[in-house]
Amino acid sequence: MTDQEYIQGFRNNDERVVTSFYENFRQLFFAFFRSRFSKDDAYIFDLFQDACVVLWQNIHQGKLSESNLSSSLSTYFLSVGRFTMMAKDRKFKEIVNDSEIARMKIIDDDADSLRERIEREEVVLRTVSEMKPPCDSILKAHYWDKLSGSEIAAKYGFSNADSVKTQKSKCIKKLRAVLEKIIEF
Amino acid sequence: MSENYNIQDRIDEYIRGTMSEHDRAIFESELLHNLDLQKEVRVQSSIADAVQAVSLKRHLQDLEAAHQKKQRTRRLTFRFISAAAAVVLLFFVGGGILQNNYCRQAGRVAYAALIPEATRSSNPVDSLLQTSYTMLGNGSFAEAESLLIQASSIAETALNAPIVDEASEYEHRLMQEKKYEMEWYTAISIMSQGHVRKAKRALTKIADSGSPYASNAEEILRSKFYKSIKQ
Repeated sequence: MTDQEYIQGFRNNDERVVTSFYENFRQLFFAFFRSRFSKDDAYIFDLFQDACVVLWQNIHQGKLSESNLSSSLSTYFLSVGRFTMMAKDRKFKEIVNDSEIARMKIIDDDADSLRERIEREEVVLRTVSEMKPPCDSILKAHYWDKLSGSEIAAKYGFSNADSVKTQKSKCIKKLRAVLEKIIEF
Repeated sequence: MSENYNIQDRIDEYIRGTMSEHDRAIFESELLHNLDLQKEVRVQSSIADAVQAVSLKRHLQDLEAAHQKKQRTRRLTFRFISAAAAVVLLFFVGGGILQNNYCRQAGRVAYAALIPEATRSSNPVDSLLQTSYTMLGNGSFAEAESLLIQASSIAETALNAPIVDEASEYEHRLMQEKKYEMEWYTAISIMSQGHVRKAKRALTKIADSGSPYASNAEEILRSKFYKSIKQ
């Protein structure tokens, strides 16, 4: 699979492409962080997941596309990994001063806005990951799998697309209520 | 655009990127002037991004779990094969050591049970037998076996000589007994060195012959250690 096909696959939330990406980049990523930073495997896998999320975000936000990839995807991904490692360590000033991260255009924030953005994302991610059924399934099917209301209804046993829509609105309302207690939008 | 086309559907389409370019341009121009709509899009986009990030992470966790399971299976298989190999090795080496020890012990017992002739004549065969007996006692097995080969060669020559009279018949019988003695000494030497299979071959030959040591050889061969050895 080419770098361009990976980018396209991430844009479409194509799980087969993500699987192929995992299979092809895991070994390189683990070897890099084991040898360069002496990290253990559990930490490296956390980093790998976070780096995949940043890669996915950058593709979805148009920061990375098939046409503006300035290096190989593996080089870009390792730099994203370094970025996520520094973000875990809260080294935001070092991130914005890192020439490679700047050259790869992995972020476009200053240190303060980067801190604010990352902390906000962590809160939302934690809240969403604690969602209970049926909200977790419905929202995943809606946003990640991009299924229509009727497809979700058929898959999860709702009477029709409107029921799914109602349930989804309730889920978002619930999440919103929790989040607004913690962060300001 | 339908009048019933409500705001939530439009936010959804905008976030999921399924809005037409025309509708998107209209929606974005509305966003510029509508702070409530801006906030709603911000909240729902954050949730949508987080839902997708969590889904992506869960997919990766499933892949990693499968990878770890495969690695564990590989490690367990390797450990199982190593353990099985160790058991097999231990069986053969351990069994070999036991058999080897038994063989040496049998050799020592057989030697201790030997009653050397009080007087031997000075003929070469007797002389070689006497010296080899002493050497077996000293643990000089290679030297003893070498002397026994020489003695055996002399005995063979004598045994191949034709029996022409009573005296030669007596000589023949005497030499045969000495030959049996040589074979037994040789077997003792082999056993004392722990050469299990070689000893079994020598003992079997003695047991199958008319040797006075046939019963001794059979007794050793009947032991469970020797029974398990293939020729």
